Amino acid sequence: MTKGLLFFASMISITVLSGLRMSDEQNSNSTIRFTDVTESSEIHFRHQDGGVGQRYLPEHMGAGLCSFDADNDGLVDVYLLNGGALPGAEINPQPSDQFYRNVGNFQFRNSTVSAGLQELSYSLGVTAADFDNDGFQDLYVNNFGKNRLFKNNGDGTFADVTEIAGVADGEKFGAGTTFLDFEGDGLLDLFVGNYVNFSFERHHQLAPSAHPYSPGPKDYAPTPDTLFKNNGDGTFSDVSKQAGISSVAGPSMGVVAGDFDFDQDSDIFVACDGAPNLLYVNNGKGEFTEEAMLSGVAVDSRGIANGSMGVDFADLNGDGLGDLLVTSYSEQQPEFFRNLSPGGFFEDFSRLSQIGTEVYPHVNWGVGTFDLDCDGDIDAFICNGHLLENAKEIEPHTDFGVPNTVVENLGHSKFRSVTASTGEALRQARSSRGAAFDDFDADGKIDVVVLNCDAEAQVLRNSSQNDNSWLILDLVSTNANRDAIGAKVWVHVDGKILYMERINGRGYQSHYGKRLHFGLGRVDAIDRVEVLWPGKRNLRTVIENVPANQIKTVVEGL
Amino acid sequence: MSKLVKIVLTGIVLSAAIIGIVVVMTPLTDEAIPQNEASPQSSALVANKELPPTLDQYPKLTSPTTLDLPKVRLVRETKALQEELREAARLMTEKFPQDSASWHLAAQVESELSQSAKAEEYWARCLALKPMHFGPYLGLAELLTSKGRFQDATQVLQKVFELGGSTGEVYLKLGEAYENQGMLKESLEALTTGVRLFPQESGLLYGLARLQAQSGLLSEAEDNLKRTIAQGGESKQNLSTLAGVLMRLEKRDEALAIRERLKEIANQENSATGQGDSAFQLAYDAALSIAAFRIFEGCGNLCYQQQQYPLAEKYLVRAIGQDPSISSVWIALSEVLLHQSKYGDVTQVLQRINELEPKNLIYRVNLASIALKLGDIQLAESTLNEAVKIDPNSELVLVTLAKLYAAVGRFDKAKDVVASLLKLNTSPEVLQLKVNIEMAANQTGTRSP
Repeated sequence: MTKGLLFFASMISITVLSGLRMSDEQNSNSTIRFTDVTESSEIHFRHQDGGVGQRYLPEHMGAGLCSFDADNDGLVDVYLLNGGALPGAEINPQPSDQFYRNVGNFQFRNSTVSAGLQELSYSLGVTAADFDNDGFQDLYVNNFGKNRLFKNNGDGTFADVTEIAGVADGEKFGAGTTFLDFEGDGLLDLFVGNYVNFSFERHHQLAPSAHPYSPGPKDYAPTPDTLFKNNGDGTFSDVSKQAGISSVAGPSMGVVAGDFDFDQDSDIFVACDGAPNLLYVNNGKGEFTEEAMLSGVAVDSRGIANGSMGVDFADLNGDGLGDLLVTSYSEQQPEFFRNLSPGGFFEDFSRLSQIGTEVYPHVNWGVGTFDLDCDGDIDAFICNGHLLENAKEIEPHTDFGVPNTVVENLGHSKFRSVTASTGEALRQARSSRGAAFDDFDADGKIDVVVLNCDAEAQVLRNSSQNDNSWLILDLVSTNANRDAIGAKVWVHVDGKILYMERINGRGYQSHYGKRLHFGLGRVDAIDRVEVLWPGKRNLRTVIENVPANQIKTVVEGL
Repeated sequence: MSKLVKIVLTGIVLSAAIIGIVVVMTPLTDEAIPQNEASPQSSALVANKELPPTLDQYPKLTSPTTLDLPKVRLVRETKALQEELREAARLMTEKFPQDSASWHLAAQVESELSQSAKAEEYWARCLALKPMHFGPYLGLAELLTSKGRFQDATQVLQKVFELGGSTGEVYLKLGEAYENQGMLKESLEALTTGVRLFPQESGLLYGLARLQAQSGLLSEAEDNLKRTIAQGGESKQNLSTLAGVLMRLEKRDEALAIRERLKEIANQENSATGQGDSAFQLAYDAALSIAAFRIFEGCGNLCYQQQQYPLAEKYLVRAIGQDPSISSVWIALSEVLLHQSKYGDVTQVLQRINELEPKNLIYRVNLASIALKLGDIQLAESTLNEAVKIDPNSELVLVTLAKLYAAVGRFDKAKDVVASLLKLNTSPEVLQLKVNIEMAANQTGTRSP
């Protein structure tokens, strides 16, 4: 065991003990509330699936979205993906991804054109990060077709640098995507998830006999994912083969990069649709082996490969280890892969935790694991809705439009649905896909933007009423990648230790949460914040006596 | 226990399991082969002091073959099959509204057709009639589970125990229902009890092993997973769970070997999937076809119990069309046909049963019996000789064959068979048979075959 790992292990054991002391809130009322502020936010976005009744596979996918601070003004902006016209559809004007700039007071302005972010491709997945370490967040969009990399010019505009960078990734059926520094050289590389080798010809061949469902992912061969290495000069190289990424293939959907085995490098988890999930484990030298089955994250607790859609990574049971929450198809529990050891062994604890009891009859997609009521543990927000508009006819216990779900953490790996008490905003039944989670109004509470398939987006302000405190950390690395993707943070507060890792590309083909949000309970200050920066040098920053209720920037070395 | 007893009992069990009744066709002798507590051996071998009947003394049956029975699975359009199932459900509930089985069948149909509200209603009507079998309880519990109503499912399953019995499947579903409610202790208890009562049920054992893994009882989980595989064979599910448990037990090499096996299974599945059809559609059609078999068979059995033999025949034939490889439905059909004296059809059904269950000699004896009564000596003899090849020590077969030869006047052959029989059994009954045949041979002289 390395010195670094010993340090992590000691942190974990402390956290486990403190986790046992966490309050049992089983009998208390939830304070989590959401208010629909779509109208006043002026995010008037309508997703278009581009379908003409043929039920082509891409039109069921909906899309992801991205929340990020594009102009470094401290306000989190939103980029929503849109579909495009599929064969036979005539849509004027052509659907475009939309960029909404946050102007404060929970109001946004559509700045798509002025920012140069008019993307007319059929978009599916997205992520944002500062790939060139210039201090500004860049955007990568994973499309049904060629992908697009937009470099942030730092003046409120973006430039399409796809061709120069060499990251178009051919004409594929894209999915989730994530930036990560897989070989620890301080440059953010790019992992691109790909779904299946869809073709309109094969769809038409199969469609006549496909009743009541339309041709699905199992009708097409899965497409291998792609890994692009950042060369540091604005270009990338496809290293999928050398790195061991293209040796396997699955129908990829949501992806997330994180250090799942706690060995100080970035691994990659890929949620797969109706096939075993993939876990690319990094050996620290930039080479991956696929070990989902051995790590316990390939299939659910009954050994079944679910229709996995989205994924998020957070310490759901307060034991100091990051867990995975993976959304699934109807009559499948969302998989709560509980991390059992620093070595990265997981087990699906969904049924016993009851995290998915409410959503069990439904198809679920986007997922965010955040402390929604700032009480010191991680709750979950899950997006629901069937992929077929006539779902009710063939799966009567669910529907195309289904209200989204809020799950509250009760401690001891137990959860309960509190959707019913969150307010009117979550009674609306739509077929949601991606969701982005960030504090858009800088009030210390996590808000949500939901992208609904072939419908208007919904903006939800977190209006929870309680006296709990919070801390938001914005990490800036000076020795590793500037975004500090891969950094680990421990917040010591009121006898507890809260753990979080800075991750990228998460949920359902989405990205959010660059700034780390900690709910603290009723305290005025944090005893200590410890940051372990990414990279091989195991550099740490420790800050003591940090006042609560602030957005704090932590710069490596300062 | 002699082989004869074993064979006869096997036949009884199979028959009883199918439609809950025991009907065995007229044996070659006029005395019925006893089917229950009486000693089959002694009764079967009872030979009175009268001469064995000659061929002329057997009642002559004439019966044409009327049924065109499918040998391969019938392909039916999905929509047409769905409509056929609806019609069957409607007919059953109209004709037998006081029989809980009719509502169970209707509920199964609605459930298969995704009409969950109707299915729930029909199962409620079924349970109101207090059925004494567990199928409706399991069906309703599964439906409630699919809706996420885990607590309701648990309550339905608990009612099974009020009936004074249970099955491994009930314990498995109950364990899962508790698990879905986050009740680990109760789930473990249900599954542990189930495994104790039904140790041979691999599904139940797998359920227990999964829960043990989730409880950190890794060695117990490993043992039970390996038992599961030994008892019920490999599946992607049990292998996946075992791989995870082995990794947690730091048995990485063993886990890696299992992962390779899983890859082999996945490759086999992929190569078996047709490229010309929708995979989802194929899976849906396959599931519907299996359900249709079960429902048609259920309709046939219900009609049989209600003594509606032509209708029973119709649905059993329909079930065979869905899957001709299941012997239980052929056996049920043979009995329905026998009730209608359709001996020609019974013959062809018994021949099919013998193909499906070549080692079950009772059906060969029954076929020989019917063949003889239809005057088809050649079929009777060849059937019994095939049976002798399968088991030369079957006393039932040897007795039947000896009587056949005696009936057709081939006394030398009959004596040879009795000599073989005497090497196995020197009971007074066998000795009496020997005497009777010798007497007959002496009185009538050896007739030409």
